[in-house]
Amino acid sequence: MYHNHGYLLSDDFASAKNDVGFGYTWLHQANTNGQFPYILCNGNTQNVFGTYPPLSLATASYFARDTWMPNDKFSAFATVWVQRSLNTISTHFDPRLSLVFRPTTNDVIRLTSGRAYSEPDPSLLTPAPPSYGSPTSVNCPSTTTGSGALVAIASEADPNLLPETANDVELAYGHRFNFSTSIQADAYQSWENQALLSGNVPISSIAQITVPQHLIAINIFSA
Amino acid sequence: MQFTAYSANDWSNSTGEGDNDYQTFPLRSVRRATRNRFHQAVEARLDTILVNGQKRSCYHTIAVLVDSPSGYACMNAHQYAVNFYGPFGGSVDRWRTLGKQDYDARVTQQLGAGVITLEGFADAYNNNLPKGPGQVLDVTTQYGPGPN
Repeated sequence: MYHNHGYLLSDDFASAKNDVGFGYTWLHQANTNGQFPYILCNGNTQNVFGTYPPLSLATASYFARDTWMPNDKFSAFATVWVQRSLNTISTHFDPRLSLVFRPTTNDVIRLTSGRAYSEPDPSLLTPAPPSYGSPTSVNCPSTTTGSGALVAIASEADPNLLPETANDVELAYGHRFNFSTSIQADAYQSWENQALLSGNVPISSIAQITVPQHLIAINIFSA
Repeated sequence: MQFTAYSANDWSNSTGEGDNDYQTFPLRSVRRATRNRFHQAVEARLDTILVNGQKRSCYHTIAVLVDSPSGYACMNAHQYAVNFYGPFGGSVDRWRTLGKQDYDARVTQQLGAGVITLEGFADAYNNNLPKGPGQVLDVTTQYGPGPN
């Protein structure tokens, strides 16, 4: 179940060859899920359908944008975002620039480059009672009893995660043969940073965490 | 000033509709009878299953695990269909809802050389797929299969 809301406030100024604007946005998402039977944090099971406490994701951003068209052959589009990820307590500067050149009325060349970020799912960030695997996963198989072998016994979120970021560049060419036929060619490259990966680590390396009380509250709405 | 609203909701009782998993008695009976004839031709008319680690076979019938001292029973197609028709893979208290709502309000105003825009939105997506506990065989309820 997802519940989203947000708002945008902007001011735009248009002229013959240049449109410029700036603004602010705030976005919030809350999601939760339900389960039957409902399993409490102490492991007890209740034969009712219940929802877990919702997790939220919020972003506050400032932006500026500009569209410049000095003549019929050339145009440029620029946006600059300064985005505050409220869940990861991190700020991101994400500019993007697109240059469009039309040498003839039937050809167009587009060059775009920019930077973007993607926030982790709140379930990956929020400390919660660990979810343990099946009992068989706790028993070390014979093939993993050597020194240094790790056996997954539980999974847990990491409240220190940061958003994934990416830089990208894209070059595209389009040609129109006639009224009904055109061709598009596109090449792009993206460099991703801080990719979110899962893995096995020794339990001793995981810092002790305290699960917030509001995340372990019982929230049963149907009996 | 612009205001848009969108809302779509549906509800269905999945015990026999929506999942394509309600298998009727005639369907079960025909399927098992067909399978039985195939097995009779291919496997010397024996249907074999493992019961407590031991092979147990039924001749001309279907071998089914049951809670009895022997651990299995040999059923003909009619007996099998009586016991296994109904919401296959389903359970009691099984229903689903899907809801989507989106509301958006937008106000634009010329102010000096610029155009001020204020926009707000709220939307929701709800998908509920609850399932009750599995149906005990041979117990008649308003949801599950019955032996009658």
